[in-house]
Amino acid sequence: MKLLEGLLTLGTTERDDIQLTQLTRQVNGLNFFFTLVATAGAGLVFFTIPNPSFLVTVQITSAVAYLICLVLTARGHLNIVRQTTIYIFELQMFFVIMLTNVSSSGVLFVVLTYPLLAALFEVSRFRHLTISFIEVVIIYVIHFLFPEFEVNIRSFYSLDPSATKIMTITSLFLIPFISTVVIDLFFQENMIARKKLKALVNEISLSNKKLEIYAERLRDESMRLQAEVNIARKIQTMVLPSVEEINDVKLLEISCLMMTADEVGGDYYDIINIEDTVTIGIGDVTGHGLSSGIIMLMAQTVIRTLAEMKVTDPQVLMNIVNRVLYANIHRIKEDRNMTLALITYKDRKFVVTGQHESVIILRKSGDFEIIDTMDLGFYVGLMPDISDKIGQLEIVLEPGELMILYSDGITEAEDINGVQFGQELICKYMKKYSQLPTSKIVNKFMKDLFNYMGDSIIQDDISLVVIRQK
Amino acid sequence: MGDDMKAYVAEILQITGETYKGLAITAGHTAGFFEILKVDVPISVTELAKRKDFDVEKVRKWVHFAAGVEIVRVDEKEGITLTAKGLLLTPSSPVKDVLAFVDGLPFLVKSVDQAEATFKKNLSLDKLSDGKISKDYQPKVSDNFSQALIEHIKKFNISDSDKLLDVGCGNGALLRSLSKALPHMHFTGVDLNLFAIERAKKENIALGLTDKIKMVVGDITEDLEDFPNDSYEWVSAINVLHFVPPEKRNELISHLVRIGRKGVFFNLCTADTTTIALTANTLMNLLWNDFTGFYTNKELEVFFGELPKKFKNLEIQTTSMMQGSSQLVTILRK
Repeated sequence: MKLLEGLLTLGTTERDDIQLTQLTRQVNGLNFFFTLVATAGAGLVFFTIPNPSFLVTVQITSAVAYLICLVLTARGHLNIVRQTTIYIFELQMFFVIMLTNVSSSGVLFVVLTYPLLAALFEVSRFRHLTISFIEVVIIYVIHFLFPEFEVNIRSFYSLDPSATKIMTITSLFLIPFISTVVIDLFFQENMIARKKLKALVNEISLSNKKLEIYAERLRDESMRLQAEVNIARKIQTMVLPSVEEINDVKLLEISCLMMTADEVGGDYYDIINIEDTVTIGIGDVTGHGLSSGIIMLMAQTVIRTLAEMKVTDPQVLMNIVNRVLYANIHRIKEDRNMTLALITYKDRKFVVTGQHESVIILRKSGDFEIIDTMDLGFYVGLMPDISDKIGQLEIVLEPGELMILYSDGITEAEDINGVQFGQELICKYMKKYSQLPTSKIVNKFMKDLFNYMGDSIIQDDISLVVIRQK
Repeated sequence: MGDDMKAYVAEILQITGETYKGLAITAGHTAGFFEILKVDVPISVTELAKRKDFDVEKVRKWVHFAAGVEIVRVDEKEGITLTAKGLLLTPSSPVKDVLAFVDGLPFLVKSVDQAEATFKKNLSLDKLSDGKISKDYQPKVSDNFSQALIEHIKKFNISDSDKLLDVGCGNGALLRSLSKALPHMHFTGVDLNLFAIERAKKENIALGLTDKIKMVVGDITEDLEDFPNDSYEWVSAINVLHFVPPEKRNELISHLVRIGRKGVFFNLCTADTTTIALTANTLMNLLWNDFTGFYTNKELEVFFGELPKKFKNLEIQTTSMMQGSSQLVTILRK
């Protein structure tokens, strides 16, 4: 059985699909079977019929041809073999019928078997049906119209008349036998293929189930992330100063706005008014998500606490904020830090400290002062001590003059061609609206920023604080 | 208790009862029952509850109520189907503005719940919730109101190469619906609300409509000067005038007529024609800081008296919309 299985699988590889394997096995099975039948036929003829040389030659040649087909399949020429096997069979049968004069039983065999074989080899059934009919016609024409020609052939091959009888019996015996083998082979291989297909389907449905589970997990994960983003956004916007609080600042007219991007960026601003001091903060936590929101909340809490404790020296303020944030960021083991500028306003004087985007001052003359904050501090929360890096700068605004604080979401906002908004446009538009109330300035400026962006959407948080000395 | 008193009590009870009824219907609507219930295919209470993962007993009580007010019908096998009345509350309701009125109820209820704060100056539910009302109200309520208007606008002689400017476009839902109906036209929407514009942009990008619909930020009471005369064929301002200070409304309309080369569509909501408009006029104050009120009958009379004088050579058409609580005005250049 093992040998047979080995024979059947000749020329198949693991990579072949189920249908191809089935076809190859059918082709091999038939070639092997025909080799046996042809050889057995040759033996039978040799021992039972006098003067059998021609018939034996036909059978032996066919057996060799079938063997060659088996070898060819093993070498991977399945497509050639599929056709040739049937042609060999058709030729073999034609000669056998002609030589043995078994027209009545032989033609039955021919008509029945060729299309069946063609189906098994997956070649054109129509072509082999046609061939079988042509053969039948030739055989009958010779048999009924030219009986002397038939006699001539037989006398030429000098085959004994008993051969007809023997071959009739043999072929009548062969019809059901070959048909059974052919059909059985068909069924067997179909069953095997179906089993394989079933196993494959099972495998696929198992993989599908696994995929479903993965998809479910991904959904959960994205839900969790979405929830995290929502919480972070909530944290970020919930502690923003209210309009009432900002309006309570008597000496300054302040308006602010924050718009968060889809992925919360971690912008921060605050206006804290305690007695005669206003503490203004603006910053940006690196990264995004829940951690950024929490770090921003920590910064806000520390700044608020210090303001409540009336710590007005910005340098001290910045130092403590850094220490607290460094310690906490260290604890949560997240690689985060923040840019932060703190401005304290007391006795009509602003003191700026800390590193963030530039502070823009618009003087009454229409001139701009761009204050670079690079030298006024360092990233907050990155090092345990930044006291030696903290600088401070005093600014006095005349009544009507403006101070503009912003986050990089504005300067880096892009138009449809990817060109950034930049600082120059901030100055340009601010100047255009400088005579309006600060709330109007914010509205008008945002209008221009949005219209600059056109169809582009916000990629990073946008914060804007406009302060006017009353 | 005197007869008068009995009558008053009955009246108040009736008003409150109607409100309760409205709330219970809305509860079913918000819970999503009308998305499941069908007119022709009965569904059991258990199945209804199962589909929404709800408590069966609570659902059963709601169904009992809904059958009582003839929104649903329960057959002898306890199968629930919608009545023709109930059909109006489904997402495929043929009368979208009715759906909008129902959808608006939860917002108004929330503003009432916070009335102690929302009645205060400069405070509204929108303010209290950081703009959440504006964000949610529009797609749920306004968009359904707009649906009725689109059908009207489509009736006019609008050609493919025409451009339309929608003033006070909010999240741009009207423009997207119009673009669907008139796919070759170009549209521009202008609104002051940054959040709405940002939302509109995202939606337009997702639908691949950015080359057809442009969104612009602008204050319609100040920035319309930026739009030159006849720069658009059509201009619309739908459900916008009640967010514009009364003294600026006429100026706004003049701008619309100036900008629109072929015609202008806008609507005026009236407070005095229907109870629903009267109550909405009261409660929408609590929802938004910038709500400036519907027109009273008297104001409307003045408005329609002056309109033909103001635009002498123009054809003015008026159509009643939103179940009689709004007048759609179409001004056509001849």
